[in-house]
Amino acid sequence: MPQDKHPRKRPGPTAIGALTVAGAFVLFLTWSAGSAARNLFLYDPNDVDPIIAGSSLDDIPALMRGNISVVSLSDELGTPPRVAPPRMCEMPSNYFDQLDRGEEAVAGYTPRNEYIREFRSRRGFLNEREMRAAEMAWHYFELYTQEETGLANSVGNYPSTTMWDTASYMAGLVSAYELCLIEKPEFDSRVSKLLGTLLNLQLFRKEMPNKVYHTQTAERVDYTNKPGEIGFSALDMGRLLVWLRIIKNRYSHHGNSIDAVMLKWDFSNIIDDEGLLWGALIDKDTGETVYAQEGRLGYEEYAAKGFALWGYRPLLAHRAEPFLTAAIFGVQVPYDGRDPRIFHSQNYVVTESYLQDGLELGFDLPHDDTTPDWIHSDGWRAEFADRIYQVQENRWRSTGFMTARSEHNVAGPPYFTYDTIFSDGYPWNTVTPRGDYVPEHAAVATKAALGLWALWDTPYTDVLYEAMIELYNPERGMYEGLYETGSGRIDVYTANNNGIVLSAFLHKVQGTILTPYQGETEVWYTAFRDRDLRQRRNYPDPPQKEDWLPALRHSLQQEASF
Amino acid sequence: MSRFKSLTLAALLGMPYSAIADGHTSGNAEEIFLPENAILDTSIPFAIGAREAQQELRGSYGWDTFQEGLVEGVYFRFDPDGYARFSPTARLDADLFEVLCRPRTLNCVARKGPLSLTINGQGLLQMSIEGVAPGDQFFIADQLDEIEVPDRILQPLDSRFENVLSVGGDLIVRRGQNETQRISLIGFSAVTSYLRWILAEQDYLALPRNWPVPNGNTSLASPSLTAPDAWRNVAVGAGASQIETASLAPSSTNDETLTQLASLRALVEQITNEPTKDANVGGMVLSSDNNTHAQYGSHSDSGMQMVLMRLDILERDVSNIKSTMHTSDEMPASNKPAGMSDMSTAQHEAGVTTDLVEIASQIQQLTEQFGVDPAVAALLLRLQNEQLANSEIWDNERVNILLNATGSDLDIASMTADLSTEIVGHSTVQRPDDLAGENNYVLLTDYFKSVSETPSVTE
Repeated sequence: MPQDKHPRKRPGPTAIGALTVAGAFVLFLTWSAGSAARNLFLYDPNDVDPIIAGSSLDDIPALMRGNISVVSLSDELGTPPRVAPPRMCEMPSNYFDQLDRGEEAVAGYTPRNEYIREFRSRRGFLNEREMRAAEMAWHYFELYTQEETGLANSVGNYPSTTMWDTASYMAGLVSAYELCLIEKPEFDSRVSKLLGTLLNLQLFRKEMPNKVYHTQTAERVDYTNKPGEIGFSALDMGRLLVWLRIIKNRYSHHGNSIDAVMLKWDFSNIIDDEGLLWGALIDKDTGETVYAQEGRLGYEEYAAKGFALWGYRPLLAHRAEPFLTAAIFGVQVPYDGRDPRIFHSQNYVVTESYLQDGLELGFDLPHDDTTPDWIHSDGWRAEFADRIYQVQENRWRSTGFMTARSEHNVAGPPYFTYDTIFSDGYPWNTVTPRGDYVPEHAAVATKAALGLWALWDTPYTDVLYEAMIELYNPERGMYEGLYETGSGRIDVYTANNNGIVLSAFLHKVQGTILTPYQGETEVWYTAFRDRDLRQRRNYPDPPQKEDWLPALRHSLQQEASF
Repeated sequence: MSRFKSLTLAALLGMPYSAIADGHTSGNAEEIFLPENAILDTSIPFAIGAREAQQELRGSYGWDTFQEGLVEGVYFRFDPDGYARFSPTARLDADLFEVLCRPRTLNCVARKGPLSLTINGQGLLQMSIEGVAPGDQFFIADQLDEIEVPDRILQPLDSRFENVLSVGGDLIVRRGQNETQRISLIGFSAVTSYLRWILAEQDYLALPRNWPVPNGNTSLASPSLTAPDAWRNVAVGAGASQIETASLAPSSTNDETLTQLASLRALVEQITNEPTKDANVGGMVLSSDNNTHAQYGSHSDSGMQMVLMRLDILERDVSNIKSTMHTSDEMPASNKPAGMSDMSTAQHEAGVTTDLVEIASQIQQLTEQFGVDPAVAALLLRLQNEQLANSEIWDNERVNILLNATGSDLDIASMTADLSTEIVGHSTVQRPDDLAGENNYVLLTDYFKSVSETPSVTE
């Protein structure tokens, strides 16, 4: 093959770069000259960009801002929002065959800080054992809902409740309807009765619902169930807001009633400009209202999302910081970094708040109405939840103790324990509300076990399932749990436990329980625009993209491997 | 065995520990957390440094506050219903004394393993140990030495025994050569003080000498006008911890007192009638590693006779009080005899009726008019008596005129009833000398003096 005796010399990279810069410079000069000439010779004083009413250029006054559409992720991406799944008894038999499970997706963070877990949740119809357990759980509410008020007792026949437990009742109610345990007339009747009571609740100092109410009279009561007011809980309200939003989005015919309830409340103190959540209590000496920051890692973020679902921007409350991690069985377990000795509030690490985030909100950000269930737009929440699961499985594998820890009630003193994965500097710390170490009350909590089972489809949760699925009293509902010490079942029945168990079953059938809002606007955003009430009570405008909570990841998470 | 059982809490408290525990545990939350069951104000510190804190309640019921602190080397927490834990560890998880109270009463029991403690009607500490059999021997041991203690520790304890047990160490129960039980006594002193404090309705006078009482507690249930803040910081007088506690217990009645005295008499007679057994177990024997024993105390027949004589006097006192109460109900206030009396036993026998009525009326006036606690009022009156001995100006008559001038309707019966138990335990009422110096508080006499001088200035 003849060879070229005079090969052509190729231009070097420097020469190419110089040519590119020169070309760009010429183009810039041409454009500048053209623009200057047009401005000089074709100037027309009437030539301005028109502002379309309601467009992004329009500085809409408060009076009109209620009509702005809420901007969600589907609007931003131009993708269709999720569709509310049918009730279980209305699902076609092949419903789950066509379900997108993201089996091929690689676990880890996406560029948008979404998180794809290495575990998948369980999906499918309920089998006979699960249906039986669901019926038992619902039986609790059949038994302990007060006819006069529509409120359900928190614990057995003790006629008092909190907003947290009322939300648990709403969870049970929605689940019972969607799982076809009850039909629409009963569902509507119960919801209407409950909302009517909520609408007429006497509030704590005309602000927010009192911490505790008597379920038979709907009176404000104290911790001894005697008439009186004791303050309000931002965490309880956050959970209630989640479930009010779920019901409103799923059952639009209850939307106006829910808006009416919300519009009775004053949000001016419960959330501040920085996005922190504040509870209220009464100063024992002066009788004045004292507002105190409320919430620690886990519960705080869950409650924050409840507020965000109604247009608030709980920026600080939703952030993980300040947090630390404790290495337990090879897992960096995150816990709140605020020192209990300074802040006088414990940093309990339990399963419950992560479960509720996963079951009800799909570990998604409040504005996310479009990503599939296996993509979690609130990435770090899903990743933290994986650690909470993993450390419990590891404990079981290392010690043999079945582990599904949460706060739970117990029979007899101290009546309530925080059965934690970590708190106060100790792993597997079981403490009373005043901080006594009570390891004898450590238990496998029914709600935690079945919640883990629903969200983590693993051999370990199969073990939990076998232990808990028949843990019910046909007369009263699901037991609270199983003592770790072998002392048997916790013979206590609560709204929270039974509500979360029903939520777990509902998640298996329908996936993420929160569904997108179907309407254009809401009374919640349009009401009282003609007066200063919205400002005084801190009612928000419809959230836009700039109001979204950020999707974050943490440097520690990038490095951590477990 | 029957002897020990007869000395259980059931006999002395009227109910066993198990009943208290059952009452505490088996009730519904609806009953447990009723406001009536709150017997303690958790804002009143049990010791210096204690703080009231909020319980982290997530549910709809529970006590919303508790108190926690550190005293005498043990951490403690207690709820408004009296439920408490004492432990040398901050987590309150090891070597734990647990205190449970019978709902709506001040009857509380402290328990650590098989050991139960309570304060009986006379204000004496009563100890019981499960699984103890007749013939078992008791020892108190530290790391090196052991002290043998008589089985009378299962009877109401006098201050000597209580002091021995309060030192700490372990209480060992031996059957023959075998050690059947070993119970840590860490926290013993703190928990017995706590039991007395409850019975005294959180009055610091019930606490032992040198107890670290907080300074200037403004939230005290009955703040004393005559006592400045420094009052609260003084070391409480010795001996105030035992019998005086009984005087503060509101539930005692004269009939109950007489019954209990009869029980005590029977008990003493039983001990007296068992000379052989007492000779074996009644003495307190010191032992050490080299098995040298030194007996440093024993009770003799003469001692028992003294106790019986004492019981006679006490029973007579209570009977007198009963008659006084009956008389005072019918007595017009204007006819009440004047004059303060010292509450010595001899004077009781001489004229206890009139003295008691007078003292009761004065105490009630002090409590109602000036917010002084009854026990403190009694103490102040005694203080005044001593001052009067050296005073030519403030004689009894003048004081009484002053008191009557500020008086109101008197509930003589109830005050006398309260006083009756005070008298039962008069022998250990603290002396003024035990208190801090006069610069630390204003004497009642000085206060009266200042009050009475004010009109003369205006005139």
